[in-house]
Amino acid sequence: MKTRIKELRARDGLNQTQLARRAKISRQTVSLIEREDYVPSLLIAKRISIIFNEPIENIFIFTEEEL
Amino acid sequence: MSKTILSYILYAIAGFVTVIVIVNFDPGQGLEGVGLGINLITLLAAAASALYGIIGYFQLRKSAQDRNIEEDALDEYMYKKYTDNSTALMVTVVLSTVAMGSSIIYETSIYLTIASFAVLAAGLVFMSILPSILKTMYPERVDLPDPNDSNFAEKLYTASDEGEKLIMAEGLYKAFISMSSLLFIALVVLMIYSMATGNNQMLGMIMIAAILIYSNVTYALTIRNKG
Repeated sequence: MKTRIKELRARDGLNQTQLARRAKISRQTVSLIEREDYVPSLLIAKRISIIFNEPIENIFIFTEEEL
Repeated sequence: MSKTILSYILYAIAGFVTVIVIVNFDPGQGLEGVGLGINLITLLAAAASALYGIIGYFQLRKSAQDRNIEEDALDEYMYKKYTDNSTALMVTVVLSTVAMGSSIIYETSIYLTIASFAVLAAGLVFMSILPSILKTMYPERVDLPDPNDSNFAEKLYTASDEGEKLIMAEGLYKAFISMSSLLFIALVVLMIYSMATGNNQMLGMIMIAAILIYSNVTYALTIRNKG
C-alpha cells in the first residue's frame, strides 16, 4: 500500500504531531503509516480522509495484486 | 551517540566478566573463586546504568516541559529517551539484585552489600516515578493511567492506539522468542554446571522450567482463545 500522507501534510502545513492530535492517534502511528509499515484501521483512515478532505482511496493507494 | 557508547560499555563489561570467569573458573570449586569479581562487576555495571537512567530522567523531565523545540523532533526524542531510561533502570534493578545477592552469598563485604542495596533502592525509586512523566510528555492524552493504578502496565496497553500496540506486540514477540531460547540454554548450562562442579542447581533448574512452561502456555492460551 502506498500512502500520500506526507505529501498531504506538506500541502496543509501539518507536522506529524499535529496530524496525530487531530486524528486522535499517536505520532508513532502516523510515522508507521507514513513509512508504509502499517495499514491503518478503517476508522483511522476515515479520520485522516476527513482531515485532508480527500476520499480514502486518494490517500491510501493499493496495487492490483494487493486487492 | 550515547546509545553507541552504552553498547560499547556493555560489551566491555560482558567481555571482562567472561575473561574473569574463564581465568578463575575451577570446575571443582564452582563460582567460589570469582565471587568478589562478580560482585564488583555487577555493582559497577548497575551503578553506571543507574546513573544513566537517573540523569536521563531529569533530562526527559526538562525536555517534556520545553515546548520551544520542533514538535516532531521533540516527540521522537522523548519517546526514545523514555524507552532508554526505562531499560537502563530495569537493568539497574536486575544487576544490583545480583550484586547484592553475590555479596551476601560470597560474604564479600558489608559495604558492598550496602552499596548494592543503595543502587537497587535508587533503581526501584526512579523506575516507579518514571511513568509519572508520561502525563507531562503527552498532556493531551487524558486516557493515560495514573502510575499508582493497580495494573498500570495493562491499563497503559489499553490506552495505547493501534500503531503503538503493533510496535509493542512486535517487541514483545521478539523478546518472548529470544527469552524462551535463552531460558532453555540456561537450563542446559545449569545442568552441565551441576554435573561438572557437584553444586546442585536443581532449584534454579525447576524455576527456569516452571517459567518456561508458564510463559509458553500463557502465550499459547492467549492466541488459541482469540481464534
